[in-house]
Amino acid sequence: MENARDVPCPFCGLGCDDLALRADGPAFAVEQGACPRSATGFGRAAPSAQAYIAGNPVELPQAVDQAVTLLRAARLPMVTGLATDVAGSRSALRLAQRAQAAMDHLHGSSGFQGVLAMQSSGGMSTTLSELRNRAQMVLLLGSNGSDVAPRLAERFLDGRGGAFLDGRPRDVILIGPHAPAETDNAGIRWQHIACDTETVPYAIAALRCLLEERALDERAANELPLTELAELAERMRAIDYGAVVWGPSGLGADGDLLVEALQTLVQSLNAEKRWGGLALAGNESATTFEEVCLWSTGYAGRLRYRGDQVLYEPRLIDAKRMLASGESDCMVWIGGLEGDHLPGRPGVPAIVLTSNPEALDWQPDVLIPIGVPGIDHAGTSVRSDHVVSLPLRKLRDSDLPAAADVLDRIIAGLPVPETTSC
Amino acid sequence: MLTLLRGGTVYDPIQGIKGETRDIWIRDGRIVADPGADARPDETHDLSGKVVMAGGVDMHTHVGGGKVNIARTLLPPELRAEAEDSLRGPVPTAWETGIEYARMGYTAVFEPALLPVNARLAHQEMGDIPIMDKGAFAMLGNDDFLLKLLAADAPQAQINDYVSWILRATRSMAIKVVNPGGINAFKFNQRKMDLDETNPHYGVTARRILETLSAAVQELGVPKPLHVHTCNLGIPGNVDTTLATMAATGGIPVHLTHLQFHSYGTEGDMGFSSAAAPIAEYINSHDNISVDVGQVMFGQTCTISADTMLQYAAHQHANPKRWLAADLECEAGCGVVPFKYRDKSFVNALQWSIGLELFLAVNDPWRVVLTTDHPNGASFTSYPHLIRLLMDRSFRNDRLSSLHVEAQASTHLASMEREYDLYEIAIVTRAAPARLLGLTERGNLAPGSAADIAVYTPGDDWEAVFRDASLVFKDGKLVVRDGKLVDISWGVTHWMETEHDAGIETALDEHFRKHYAMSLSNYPVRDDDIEADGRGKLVAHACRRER
Repeated sequence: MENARDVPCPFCGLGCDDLALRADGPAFAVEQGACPRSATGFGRAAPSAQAYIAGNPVELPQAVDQAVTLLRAARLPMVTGLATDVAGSRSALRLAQRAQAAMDHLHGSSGFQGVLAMQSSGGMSTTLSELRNRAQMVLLLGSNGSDVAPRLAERFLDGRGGAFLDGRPRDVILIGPHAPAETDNAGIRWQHIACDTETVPYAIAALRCLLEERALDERAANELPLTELAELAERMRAIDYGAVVWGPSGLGADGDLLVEALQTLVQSLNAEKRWGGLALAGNESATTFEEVCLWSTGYAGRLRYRGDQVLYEPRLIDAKRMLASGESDCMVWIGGLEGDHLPGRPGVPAIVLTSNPEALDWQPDVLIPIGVPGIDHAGTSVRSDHVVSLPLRKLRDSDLPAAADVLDRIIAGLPVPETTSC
Repeated sequence: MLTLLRGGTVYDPIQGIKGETRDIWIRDGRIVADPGADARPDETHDLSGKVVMAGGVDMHTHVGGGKVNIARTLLPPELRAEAEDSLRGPVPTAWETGIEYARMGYTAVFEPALLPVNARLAHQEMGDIPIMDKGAFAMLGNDDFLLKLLAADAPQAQINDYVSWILRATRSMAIKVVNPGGINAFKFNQRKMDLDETNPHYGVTARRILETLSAAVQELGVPKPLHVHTCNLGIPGNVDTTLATMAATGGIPVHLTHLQFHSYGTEGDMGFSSAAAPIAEYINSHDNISVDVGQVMFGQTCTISADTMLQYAAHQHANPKRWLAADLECEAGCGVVPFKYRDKSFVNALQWSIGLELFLAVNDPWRVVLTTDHPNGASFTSYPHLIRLLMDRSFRNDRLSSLHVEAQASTHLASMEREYDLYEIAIVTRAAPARLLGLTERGNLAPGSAADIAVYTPGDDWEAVFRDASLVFKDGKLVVRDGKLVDISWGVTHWMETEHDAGIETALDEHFRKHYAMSLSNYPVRDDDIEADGRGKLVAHACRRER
C-alpha cells in the first residue's frame, strides 16, 4: 500500500477526485479532501476473503456452486444492492438475464422518481461544473446538501469557485424541512424557507404561480410561507443562470410528482433566463447502474427478464416489497460500494456479495466477500449528473475478488434460458 | 484458417472493381492474395450470382454517450415500437445496435458527437455493441478552454496542441464542431448565433472557430476533415449560412454533416423551400467539401443533438410531449426531443425530398455519405429503404406521390432521373466513409485489409436485398447468415494518434482547476477503460502530416 494523490472517490455521487491518501496500516487515511463518507470508505481495512455457506466457512468455488443451486431452484430471483462499478453492473445484468431475475437498485424507490418524471415531462438539466461556474442562485430541496454529498458546499456551492461569478457569493435557498448545515461565509449566502415535506409541492406550485403572476387562493396564503416565496420569485426573475437541486431521498411520498413539478418549473424559467435542474443522485453508485442498465436494456432499472423480453415495471418492481411479500423467492445482493447500506434478512434464500461482511448481523445462505471498486480493484463509476465518470484505481493488493469476477463464475454455472438466442 | 469466397460479383470502389467476378481469400481475419493453385481452403463459400462488398461503415450515427441514454429514458421501448421501420425502434440498446447493423452488412459505426468529458463512459457503452468496429469524433468549439484561447488570440500551434491532446485523451478518431460557439452562447442566454455573430462572453465568431479548428485538423494531419454541424440547423433560410460555412475555411477540407437539415430556403406560401440545388452546385464545384445527408424518413424517432440552443427552440414540436435539454460541464450541451415525421406534413415531406435531392444532385458519390443522422432523421434500420429510394426511380416517385400534395409541388424530385448503381451504393455506404476517416484497412477488399465482408443476394427489391445480408464476415469470422446472427465477435475501437507539445498540459491544468470538477490527471481515457473487459481493443492510426 502506498500513498496516493488525486484519488477518485466512489463513495458518493459528487465524484471528488482530489483526495490525498496516506497508507495507514491495512487502510487509508484521507489527508486531503476528506469527508465523513470518504474517511469511512477509505478507512476500512479489507475484510477476510473467507466465504460462507449458512455461516460455515467454505472455499469460493463451493460458495459459487451453492449460489448456482439456489438460483436454479428460484422462480423469480431479485438482483438488488447493485452498488457496483460499470463492470459489476454489466455482469449483474448478464446474471439477471441468465437467471431470469428482476432487478432493482438499493435506492430504486427514490432513484426512480427522476426517471418517472423524465418519462412524463422531461426537463432541463445542468451538471456540477456548470453549476459551480455559472449558477448565481441555487434552490435546494429534499436535502441540505451535506447530508447527501458532504463536500457539496465546499466544492460547488461556494461562489468564489465560480468562473463566471466574479467572486460574488452564491445564494442558496433551502425550501422544506432541511435547514442549512453551515453558516454564511464570503462564498455562500444561505436562506431557509421552512415548511414540512408534505407542503413542499404546494410551495413549489405557489412559487410557479408567483413567477407567472397567476392568482393564488386564500388557503395558499394562509398555509404557505407566501411572503418569503414572493420575495424569492422576485429575486429569481433577476437571475441570469440558476439551478434547482434536489436530494431524491428527501422528497417524500410521490417524489416523482415533485421532481416533475421542479423540472417543468425549470423548463418554464428558460423561456426568459437560463436555469437547470440537478438531482443529487449517484450515492451507492446508483447512477452507474442506471447508465449501464439503460444501454443494455433500454430501461433505467426496475425490470425483469422473461425469456428474451425485458419487462419494465417501475411501480411494481420494488426489491423491498417483492422480497417482503415472497413474490421474489431468492435475493442476490451485489455490493462493493454499499458502505453501511446492508440488506436486512429477507424471508427467502439470500446470496450476498459484499465488501462489508463484518457489518452484516445475520448469516446469508451464501456470503462472498468482494473488493471495493476504487480500492481493491480498478473500475469506472458515474457521477450524480450522469455525464462524468471516474477512473477508479486499484490502491492495495487484496485477495478479494471484484463483483464482476464472482458473478461471471455464477453465470457460468447457470443454464442458458431456452428462449434466448445466441 | 483459410477461407475462399468463390466467384462473387465484387464491388470494391477503393480498388476500382466494378461488378467483376472475383475470388476473395481470407486468412486469419485478413484478406490475402490468391495463394495459388495448391492452396486448400478450410472453408469455401460459393458466391456465384451474389453481390460482394466490404462491410458497411457508418460515419455518423449516435450510438454512444449520455444523450443516447437520455433518449432511451424519454422513449421507453413500448413507445419506440410505434416506429415505422423497425420493431426495435429508433433508439435501440447497444446489443440491438450491433445486431441490426450486422444484419444489413455493416461492420463499423462512428459516434460523431462525443462529449470529451463523457468519453470513458461512451467508449464503455460502445464496447457493448457487438460485431461492430467503433470510433468517436470529439466535440470542440463550445468548450470554455478553446473559446478562452481564441479570445486571447492564442497562436494556432497552441490550439493544435490542445486538439491533439483531446484526440488522445478521449481516444477519438476525428474532431467535430456543433453550432460553433452557439452552445456556449446559449449558456449566457443568447438564443441565436449565425456565422459572423459573436459569443457574448468571449467575443468570438462562429467563423473564427471554424477557421481555427479546420486548420488544426489539417495541420495535425488528421485524415478526417473537420466534421461540421453548422449554425442555424433546421431554420428556414439557413442555406445562406450553409453556403457561407462551406466557403469559410478557404479551401481547407471540411465535412458538413446532416446537410439536409441545413438546406432550407424561404420561398413559397409556407416560407419553407428546398435549397438543395444551390448547395449541390457549390459542392460540385468545390472539391474540399464532403457531406453526409441526414435523410428524413417518416415515423416516430427521437432527435438527439449537442445543439442545445436549437433543440431548446424546437421543444414545442416534441412528440410525445417530453424533452430534455442540458448544459454539460463547460464543454457543450445536449438536447433530446422526441419527434414524429409525418408524410402528410408539408415540412416533413419536403425535408424528405430535400435529402433525396441532395443525394441525386451531388455528382461525386465519394463526397456524399449515406446517413439518416441516426436517430435524428430516422433510425439507421431504414437504410435499406433509403438505398432503394436511391436505386429505383419508379419506387421513389411512387412514394413521392403519396406525400403532402403541396410538398410534391415544391420539389423537382420527380424529374430527377438519376438512379444509383451498386458501385455508387458501395461508395456512399463503405468506400467513401472509410476513405474520409482515413481507414485504409476497412471499407475495401484489397489484400492486407481486414476481412469485413458483406454478401448480398440481388433481386428486384433493393430494400429486401440490403435489409438482410446473405453472409457477413467480421475479421474473417462468419457472423450473419440470411440476416440472422450466427456468431458473435467484438470489433476494435479506432483512434487517431497525433503529436503535440506536452506543455499544453500546463495551461490545461490551470483551466481544470478553475472550471472543472475533475483533476486533469483523471480526465484521459485509460486503455483499460476500453480493453479490461477482455473484448475491447484499441487501434491507433498514424496521422499524415501534409507539410
